[in-house]
Amino acid sequence: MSGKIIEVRNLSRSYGRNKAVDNVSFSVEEGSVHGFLGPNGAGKTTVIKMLLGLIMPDCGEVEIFGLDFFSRRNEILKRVGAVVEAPAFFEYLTAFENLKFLSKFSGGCAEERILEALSIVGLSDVKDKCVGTFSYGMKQRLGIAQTLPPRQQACISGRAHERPGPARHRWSPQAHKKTFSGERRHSLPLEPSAWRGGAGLRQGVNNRPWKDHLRIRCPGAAPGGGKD
Amino acid sequence: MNLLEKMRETFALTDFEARKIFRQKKCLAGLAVNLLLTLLVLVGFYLRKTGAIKGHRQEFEGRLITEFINGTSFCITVLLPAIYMIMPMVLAMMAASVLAGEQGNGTLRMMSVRPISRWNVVISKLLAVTLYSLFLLSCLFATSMALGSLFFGYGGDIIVFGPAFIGKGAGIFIMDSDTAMERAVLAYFFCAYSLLSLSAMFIMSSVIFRNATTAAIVPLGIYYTSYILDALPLMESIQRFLPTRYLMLWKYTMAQEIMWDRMLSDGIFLAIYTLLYVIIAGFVFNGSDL
Ligand SMILES: Nc1ncnc2c1ncn2[C@@H]1O[C@H](COP(=O)(O)OP(=O)(O)OP(=O)(O)O)[C@@H](O)[C@H]1O
Ligand SMILES: [Mg+2]
Repeated sequence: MSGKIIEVRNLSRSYGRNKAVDNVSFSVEEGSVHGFLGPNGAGKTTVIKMLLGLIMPDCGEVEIFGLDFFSRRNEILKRVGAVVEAPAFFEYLTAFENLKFLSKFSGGCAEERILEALSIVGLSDVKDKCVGTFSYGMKQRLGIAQTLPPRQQACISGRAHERPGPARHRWSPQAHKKTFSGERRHSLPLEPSAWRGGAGLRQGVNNRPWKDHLRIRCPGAAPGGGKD
Repeated sequence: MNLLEKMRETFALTDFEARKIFRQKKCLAGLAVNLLLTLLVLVGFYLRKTGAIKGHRQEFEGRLITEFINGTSFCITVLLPAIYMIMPMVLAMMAASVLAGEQGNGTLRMMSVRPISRWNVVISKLLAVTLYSLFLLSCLFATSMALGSLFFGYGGDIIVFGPAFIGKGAGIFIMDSDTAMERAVLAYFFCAYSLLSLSAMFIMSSVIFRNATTAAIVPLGIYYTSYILDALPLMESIQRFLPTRYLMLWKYTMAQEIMWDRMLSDGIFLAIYTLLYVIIAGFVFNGSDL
């Protein structure tokens, strides 16, 4: 089992008659960065939501850290940081408060860790401002910071890294990996289907089982659709 | 051990949910509406008491009623529109906002990728809305008692219009000062219980409809319809099936002798309804896509 952080076998899920995910299997190695690509409507978000217990699959198995997801959900989620689709925060709370409360429910962490996370994504100056006053890019950064505080070992994020703005701190999967590894080991399946110029991302895909296994339901992919 | 952990989680979540409610400006909206109501009733009572409204003061009944205007009667009068109309509306909006609203803006998903139980999410949101309703009721009691005492004097005998509380057939009687004060406190106390049940219904609606507007409007529509049908003549045959039937058990505290047996049986039915709402909400939420 060693070496595999995420192992997905024969995962399927339908919405009514629409088979959104059809028998998908893949695995993710420890310490690797992955992109999860596919045309719009291919089922990427659906897979990621199933990996996080947000929706139940019709059938299939998910193992994270070698543990069965459906029987050990809480144990696993303590060690996972995630952003699904657009980052959403409590707009009337400050950036710091948002991270403080969210990390509290992930098992808790020291305030220094939160401050560190905020400084990594370049939001230290605005940590005491309400998130409602943030730009979209700033919320994306906070979304990334939000996956850090407790000792995360896997980070699953969808769209959070999509086209990061040319702000003071340029974002890239390599930077992400470099910043957040250290004593922890990460595995980062990203889902930036609208990522443009994602050369680094493509390099990051080690073994590329993604597209082969993902039955693509949307042949005429929309312009925004990811290509690999 | 496991139960203790679960309870600790419920407590932490409720604390967070309550903080969120009190940090939002919309929390003040409920307070403002209650204050407006209090001020309007105050003006009404004041004009009546000072005889600014001609005509009424001439009638025997009018003069009699004016004799019983005081802090306690003011406090109880304010409660009527608040509990029947304003509080259900404010709580429906709040419940829809904390659950369906958060589902819509994605923050509920952000919370749900954490190792917390979905049952606890539903329960903590209900408890937080209940804390908010307790806060509103306390403010209503405090402001109406303070303003009423200031303008009309603290305490005093009150006249109780039985039909307005207990229904047809109840008489009109006079309650002495101490009893009236005691009954006012009891009435507010049992209102909190009624509001807990209403909030549970609103939370259930939020889980089912998932859209904040629908989640608020559907149960409010049912509530107001039941309320109107309950008051209409010729509707006796369906009144016993209305979901509001057991809701307002606080009103029995205003009888000449408190109707404890009636309150107990209504209270048990209400508890069963409330529990059902929570169980349905929990099950639906547990199985829903986020
Ligand atoms: N809540 C839902 N109800 C019904 N169908 C849904 C729902 N969510 C997704 N689908 C369907 O499931 C399929 C996969 O959707 P999904 O959101 O996983 O795609 P995606 O790969 O993330 O696309 P995108 O690149 O646009 O984000 C689509 O055909 C979509 O129409
Ligand atoms: Mg998607």
